[in-house]
Amino acid sequence: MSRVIGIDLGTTFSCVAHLSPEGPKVIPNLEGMATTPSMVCFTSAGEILVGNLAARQALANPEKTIFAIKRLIGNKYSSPAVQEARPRLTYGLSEAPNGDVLIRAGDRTITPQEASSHILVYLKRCAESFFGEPVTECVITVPAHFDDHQRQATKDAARIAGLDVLRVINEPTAASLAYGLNRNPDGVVAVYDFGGGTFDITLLEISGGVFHVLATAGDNFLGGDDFDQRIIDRLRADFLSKHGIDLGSNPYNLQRLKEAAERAKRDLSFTAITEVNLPFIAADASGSKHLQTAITRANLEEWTRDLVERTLPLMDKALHESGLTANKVAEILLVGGQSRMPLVRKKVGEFFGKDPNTQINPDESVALGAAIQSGVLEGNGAKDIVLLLDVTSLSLGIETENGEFEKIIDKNTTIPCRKTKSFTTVDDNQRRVRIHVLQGEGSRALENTSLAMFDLVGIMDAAAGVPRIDVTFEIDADGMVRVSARDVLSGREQKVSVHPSSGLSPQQVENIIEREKKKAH
Amino acid sequence: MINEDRKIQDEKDVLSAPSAEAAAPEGAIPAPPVEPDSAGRKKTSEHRNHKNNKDHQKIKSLKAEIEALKKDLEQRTREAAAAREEVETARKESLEWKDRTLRAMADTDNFRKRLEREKDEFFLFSLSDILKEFLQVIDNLERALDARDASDGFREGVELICRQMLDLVGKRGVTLIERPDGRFDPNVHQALLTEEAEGIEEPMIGEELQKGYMLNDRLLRPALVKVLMPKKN
Repeated sequence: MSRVIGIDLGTTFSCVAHLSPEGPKVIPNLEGMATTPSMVCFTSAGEILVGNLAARQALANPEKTIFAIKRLIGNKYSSPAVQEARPRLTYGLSEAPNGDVLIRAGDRTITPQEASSHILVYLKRCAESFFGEPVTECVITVPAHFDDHQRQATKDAARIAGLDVLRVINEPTAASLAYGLNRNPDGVVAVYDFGGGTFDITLLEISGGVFHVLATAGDNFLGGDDFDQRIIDRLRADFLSKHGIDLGSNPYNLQRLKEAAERAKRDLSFTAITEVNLPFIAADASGSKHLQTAITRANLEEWTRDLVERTLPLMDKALHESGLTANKVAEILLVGGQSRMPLVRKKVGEFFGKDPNTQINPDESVALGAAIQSGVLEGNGAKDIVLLLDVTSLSLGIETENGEFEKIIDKNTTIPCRKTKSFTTVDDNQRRVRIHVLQGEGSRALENTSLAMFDLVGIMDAAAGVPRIDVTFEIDADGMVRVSARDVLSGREQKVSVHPSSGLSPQQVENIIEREKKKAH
Repeated sequence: MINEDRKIQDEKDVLSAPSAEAAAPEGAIPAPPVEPDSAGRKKTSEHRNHKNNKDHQKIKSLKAEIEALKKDLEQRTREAAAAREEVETARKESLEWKDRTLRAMADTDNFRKRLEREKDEFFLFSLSDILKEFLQVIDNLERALDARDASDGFREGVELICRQMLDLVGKRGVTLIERPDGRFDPNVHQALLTEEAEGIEEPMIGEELQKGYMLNDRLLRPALVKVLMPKKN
């Protein structure tokens, strides 16, 4: 029985925590900070830098500094998510033979799984240095909308990092655990997650300790960084109109502006007014110029109101999808640093007609929830959450005649689960059926994500529509899918674990681990 | 007293209870009972019948007794097995508890160590935030000095204030980061801009835009630098 850690592997920042005797606690990184930038860099000297170190040299080495891996992991190169993220990346992307996206960092091409594993290795090291003993097991969180490929790829990243993933749990579920909502009476919880680069709203139904994702919506490109940028733009414009000098033309000045903007934003969550003082920021013939201004909370709200309001229709969308009204939501949890903003709290409160929960540090709550789950799996602590179940986020099924999609497991089914449906042949004496496993909500196969394809051969000769082929879907507690097809008459059966058409095969994962081991020697 | 009486009473009962049949050794076929007056008496068939009957009864009751004893043995065997099982369970439990206790002790010990370390760290680094704010004031004083070329009494005064501030943070463990070799090191430097340069093999610092500081052995704030990158062929 070794230590189990809980990991929140974020788009911009990651956080690791454990369950201590007095409750879940964040494990600081090697520089003493609670969160670590989710960045990896390959230096020209062949070194791999992670976290703050990678962030510090990012500008000097942009094409080899990898960030926002979470936008890529488990995705196809041609997927909208990847194509949308692409213009914002400083490094290259390419396509693997199976269609997966690959990262090109200078002359090196690696999978997102490997890139992510470097961050996990670093977090593992932080935990090992904290405990003074090896750590080999973890619970890891993923967004509720992650599909099987993304989940499996995240698991593979952990495997490559030398961590066994005991459980993959949804981020909003983890936040609910951190708030102890599993002990509450059954009800609906809204988790409003406003991070540095992404916004997610998830509606969860908790009943008898089981977490159902009722609906999830979000904006992949809306986050706290947008708020900082608004302040920077405003300060820059004011200075330009006042002194005729553009501070943006000098990277050092821009950096000073950025730091000042971040600080002003933070201050204004607690005070009504803050002063920005940047003396000697520029000079011209008439002498030194100083940036000196006061920003009120009302100013900031005016500049960023539209950003906050962009989250409202997304909440409507999630409510609509779940078929609920706002007053049916029993608890609201605020997660992610940007949720500290008073305007956010006010708007969310107004939307649901009740005050949101804000007691737990919104940067840490997901990792803390993962730590609670890890403690349960470790056999420690809270015995009252023995079982933590999740639900499928997307429907699963197979392609049928004329490219139709037949759902076998509906979305939001509690896992682990198993379901069988019977199918038949289209032609007389058809000996072979192709089982095309798909995931999604579209009624046509084409509109959904292909997970795997396999053939069942040796079906006994019979007229079309006579043979009975039972297709069984099975999802385990981690959300991994196994599909089997069986010809009832002949007893012939074919099985597949989902991900041969995408991601890394278990053999590939082993190969990478071997390669890393060799490198280490 | 009552108990004493009762006991005696019991003993009397015991003594009086066994009949000739019951006195036979356990499990053995009973020998014919000794008839003290058999020698001179004429045995009647009635008598014989009576005797047969008696033997029969004796065998029957002995059989019953064997049966009872067998059952008793089985019962005891079962009880012994149950007891063994109980002992085994208890042994396992005790081992588990021992393991847990050791683990808890180790945990407590590690926890204590960690608490101590955290206390030390708190002592060493709790001032980080305020010291960083001080450094910004120092930056601004230095900027003011840079902006004024003339060497006069006013400048000297500001220089003194700047030194005073540096001395203040220095006493709290803040030290300036200096890299005589001029190499770019992301452990302590943050790249703000880059430039390609001839004749270098690895990234070097072109210019230090803002000083970096350590707090004890930990980075308080990286130096902001311009990095010279080796020219690509």
